[in-house]
Amino acid sequence: MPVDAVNAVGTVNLVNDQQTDLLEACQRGEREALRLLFEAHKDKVYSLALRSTGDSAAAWDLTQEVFIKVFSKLGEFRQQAKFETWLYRIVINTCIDEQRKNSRFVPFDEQTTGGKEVSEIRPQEKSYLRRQVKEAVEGAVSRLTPKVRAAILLRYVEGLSYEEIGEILGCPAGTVAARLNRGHKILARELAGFRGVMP
Amino acid sequence: MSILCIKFWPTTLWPGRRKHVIDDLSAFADGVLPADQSERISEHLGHCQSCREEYDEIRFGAALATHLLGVQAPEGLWSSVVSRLEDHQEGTAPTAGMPRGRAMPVFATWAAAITLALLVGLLAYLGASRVLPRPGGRINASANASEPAVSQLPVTAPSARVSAGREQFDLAAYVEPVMAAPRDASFRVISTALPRFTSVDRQEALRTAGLSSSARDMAPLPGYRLVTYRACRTDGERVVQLVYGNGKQGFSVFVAPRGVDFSFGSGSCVETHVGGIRCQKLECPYQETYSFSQGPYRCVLVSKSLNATQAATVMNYFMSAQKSSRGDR
Repeated sequence: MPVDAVNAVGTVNLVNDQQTDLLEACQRGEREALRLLFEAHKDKVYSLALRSTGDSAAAWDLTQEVFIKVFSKLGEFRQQAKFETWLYRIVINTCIDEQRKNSRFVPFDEQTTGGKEVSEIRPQEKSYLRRQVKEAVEGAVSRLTPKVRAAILLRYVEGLSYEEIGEILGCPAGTVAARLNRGHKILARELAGFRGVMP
Repeated sequence: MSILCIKFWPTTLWPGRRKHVIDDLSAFADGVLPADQSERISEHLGHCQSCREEYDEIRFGAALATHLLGVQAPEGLWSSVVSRLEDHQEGTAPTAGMPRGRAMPVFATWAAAITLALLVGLLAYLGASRVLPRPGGRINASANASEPAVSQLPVTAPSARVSAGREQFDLAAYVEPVMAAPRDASFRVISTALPRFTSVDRQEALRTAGLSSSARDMAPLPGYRLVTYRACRTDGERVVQLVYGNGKQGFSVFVAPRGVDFSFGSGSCVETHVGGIRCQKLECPYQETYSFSQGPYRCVLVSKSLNATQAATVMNYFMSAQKSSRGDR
């Protein structure tokens, strides 16, 4: 594994060839390669898990679960496929499974501004409002149906194209567009109170 | 007008007035549609009030979604992944999604070393447990006047419910003795004489609970001390119960690996904040029960005497101790 793939802050940025080498080393069971693969992808996995559950403890669990699945199934991964697509699919499926298991638990951030009006926002309150919007959006997203939530998270947290999302979720880009449509409308309705005051 | 543009205007006669374009509005807002389709939608929006309203809503929803940002994974995740993999290699807790008997090559050698270490540890433990007192056993009130009295009331065996292939540790059986305790003692020390329980060595109990060596001689609350402790296994994972008391009142803290789900009979569970700590409050009669997590540990505080400030202090104590304990490694 080239040393320059590990930057000063310890995160790993991989170009395609490096990732191919890394995956082969992982498949051979090299421990350092496994750690580097984890370092390269931990933030995106954790971000998706956190935004999916709205709970940092659950996100911790899910991230662990995802990497254990990834490491144990790496032998089945064929290099013809894009690793990220394969990884995202595992993340999304693990999040959906987890939600099914814990469906009786009330999700975090149940109290959002909902349809209530947010008024009289002074300039000094902008950063507070920004945080409030962020938390409300995270809460509302964690309550979306799994398919709609997956489309929204892959689009906004990971910045993927409709085609890439479709590949991960196993559906055409048109279906992704329809799910995003649904997600946008639900967010707009649930958080209508922020209309006109959003920073 | 919007109804008219669907039902009555033949699209061949007036192409701009095609059917509503609602399904394509997110893609249009994102600018990912081909130019001709984009132009058609633009034209439609120019005259269809209903689609314009829909578009306005979708744009607002999309603007809200941009507040979703990626975050950095917390420190310590790698070691906890490694630890879970080692657990898997021990064969105690098969991880969901991991095929049975399919060991990863890199951890195969670790597994052999861990198995050996476990065997040595087990032998040492068995040897030690023969000579050490059984601290988790029944405590005689007369032996120490400051200890809570032990009632002889029968205790229901703990149950475990299987939910979605995962066992849930049902606290109802443990809380029952609290409800049965006399008025002057807010809890009843539970005997370990239950089928699934084992006595454990004090060090072992504290280590399982993730308490670092520096925290072992401290108490979560002034005046309280560790009265008893015991352990059992559920779904292959060890759950330890630590009981703290001050002579009159007490509380229990159950600690398990994150993989274990706690429940309280059929009671529901709500998210809450206690003293700024995010936790889940389990609905159960007569006492306060809070579930909280730190790193690889899931904990439940059960008490009928602690106020919110005290409960937060106890939770903070465990979370800090577990955090520093992980840092010690």
